Amino acid sequence: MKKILTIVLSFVLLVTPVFASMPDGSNRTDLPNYGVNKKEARIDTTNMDKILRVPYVDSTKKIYDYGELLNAEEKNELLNLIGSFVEHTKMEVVILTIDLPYIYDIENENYAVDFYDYNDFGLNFEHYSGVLIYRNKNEKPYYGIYTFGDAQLYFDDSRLNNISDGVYSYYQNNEYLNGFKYIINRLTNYYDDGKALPNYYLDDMGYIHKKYTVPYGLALGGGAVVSIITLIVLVKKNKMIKKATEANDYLVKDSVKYNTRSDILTGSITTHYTIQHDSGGGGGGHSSRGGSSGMGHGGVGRHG
Amino acid sequence: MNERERALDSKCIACGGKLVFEPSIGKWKCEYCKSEFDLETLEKHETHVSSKKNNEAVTEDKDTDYVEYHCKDCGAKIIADENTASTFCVYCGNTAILKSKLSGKFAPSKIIPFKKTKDDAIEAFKSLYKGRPLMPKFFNDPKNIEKISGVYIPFWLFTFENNIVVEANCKKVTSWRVGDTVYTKTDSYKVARNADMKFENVPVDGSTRFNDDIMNTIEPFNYAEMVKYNHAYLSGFLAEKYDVESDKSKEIAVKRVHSSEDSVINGSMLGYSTRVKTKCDYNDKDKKTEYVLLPVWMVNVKFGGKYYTFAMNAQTGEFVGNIPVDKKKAVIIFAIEFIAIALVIVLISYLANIFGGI
Repeated sequence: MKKILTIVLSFVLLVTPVFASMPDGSNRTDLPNYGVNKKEARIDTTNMDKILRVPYVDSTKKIYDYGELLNAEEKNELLNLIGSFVEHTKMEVVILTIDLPYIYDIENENYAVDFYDYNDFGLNFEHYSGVLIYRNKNEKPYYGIYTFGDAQLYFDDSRLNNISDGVYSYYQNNEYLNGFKYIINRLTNYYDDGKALPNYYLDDMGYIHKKYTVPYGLALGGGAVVSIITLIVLVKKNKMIKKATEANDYLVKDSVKYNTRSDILTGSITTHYTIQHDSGGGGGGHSSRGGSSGMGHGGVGRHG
Repeated sequence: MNERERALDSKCIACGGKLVFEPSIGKWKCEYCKSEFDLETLEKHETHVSSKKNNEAVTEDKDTDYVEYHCKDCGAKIIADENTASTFCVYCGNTAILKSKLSGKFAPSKIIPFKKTKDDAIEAFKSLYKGRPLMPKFFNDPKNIEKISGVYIPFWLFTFENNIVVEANCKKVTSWRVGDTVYTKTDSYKVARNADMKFENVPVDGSTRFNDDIMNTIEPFNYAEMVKYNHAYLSGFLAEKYDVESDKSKEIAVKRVHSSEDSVINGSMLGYSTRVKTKCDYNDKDKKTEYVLLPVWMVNVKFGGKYYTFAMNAQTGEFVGNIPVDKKKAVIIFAIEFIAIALVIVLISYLANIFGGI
């Protein structure tokens, strides 16, 4: 009996590693809509397990240090910085640290996004806009920065990759306060630089789309080219007179007789070269990814 | 200096009415009594009367480039230039054939009689507008169509039995890939060709009056329908004698023949990536030169102060000519298409943006 209890307890701890000790976690089954207050978020049997696995938290706290990486003083310093960011950008900032075992990298992103979508983050802002700074201190450490709502337009993958590159050394040295401060400051700087995707817009579900712009150049150029070609074809149709340059019509059938017909191989050279593979990838368009809530988000994550 | 000449008697044997060659039936028909005659009958009659009749008065003024003659039917004075061999009396409409222009060294050996009628030519001219929206509306004016005339054009026909010797350095390049390594093999060849070939009846227009390119474009004629020349075929049509000597015309034919010889030889050297000729000798053996008359329906249309010549091969029905472009129509078509294409591009890009998320 004691052995069975140990196995069950170990399983529970493995699957929901941190929530047993969550100070502000509430039981979602006791809450209206399971604590999901974003009207666009899907709540049905397909994502119920995802909703229930993330704790319902007080969204005003901003820092959820389940990985216990920060002390109280550090949290206070960060809260001040977050407050300034929120006031300046009208976008949310959430710091989530955790110790989550995982097999696939995507599980980190799924959990972080669900944490944001199924809590009340960004409720006061257009499109629930905000950024979630994620740190999984598992033995396979992982970190990410995930964007929601308008934050996707300001912080595209390129900007987030730059920030992720910069924060790597802080995380490696366990300088989490400085790491988080670095991220928030860089986010502020990028915000001040303006939108990274000015030609995109957000739909009601938080997915980004490219704005439609009338392709005047293509329309005028295409119209001109096609019209000119048509005109040339029509003008050519009017020109029926051709210069006769050959006399093929008058070559007597079967009159061609070859007295000599030789093809002598005089030499042969073989050369070779090795194809160099280009490691660089091509640029592509920008798009949002969907979370289990059905809402869109962006962001990057990586090991380290 | 005056000189008396004979013109062909193109009168009906039965009633003396005007006799005209009918391309659709291949016979001569009297416009008055509707009698029809074949060539054999006319030739017999011509031989019979030629010994008795010699009453046509033609006066030639050698100081000028025209010939003055009197119509034997109505006596009117008609003037034609020195190359005209067959024309019409503008007063009575009878065909007047100046035999001296088509005898001696100017005697054609063969002729292809008209096969397409004037109605066929008019129909072909009328149908030119199909698929040609830039054609000026004026072109279909009946006044233009009525001007269509049947003309026998003098042609030189050259027959060659030629030999061509070609040597070339050729390369054949093949390429294949093994893993990330690309191999290229270049084989060099010494290629030689020596070929005989025969070109029969290569035509060259023998008159400077007609545009060579137009005459080239209405080729080819079906020489199987060529018959021995007889003046009688000229009745009802205009005719010209050649004013370009055969030697000069032959140069044009030789160029065309050489070009075709090149095509034949090049066709035997396919499969090579590059081909550099090191030797190319043409050995021309001129086997036969013939002077013939070939049938053409012609019309000149004046547009914008310029004459445009159209010609129809009166044997095959091939109708050619350069039609002027109606600039107003061109601008309208360009504007409509430009706007339509621009709108379609905008619409496609808009739909692609909505449905494709571009």
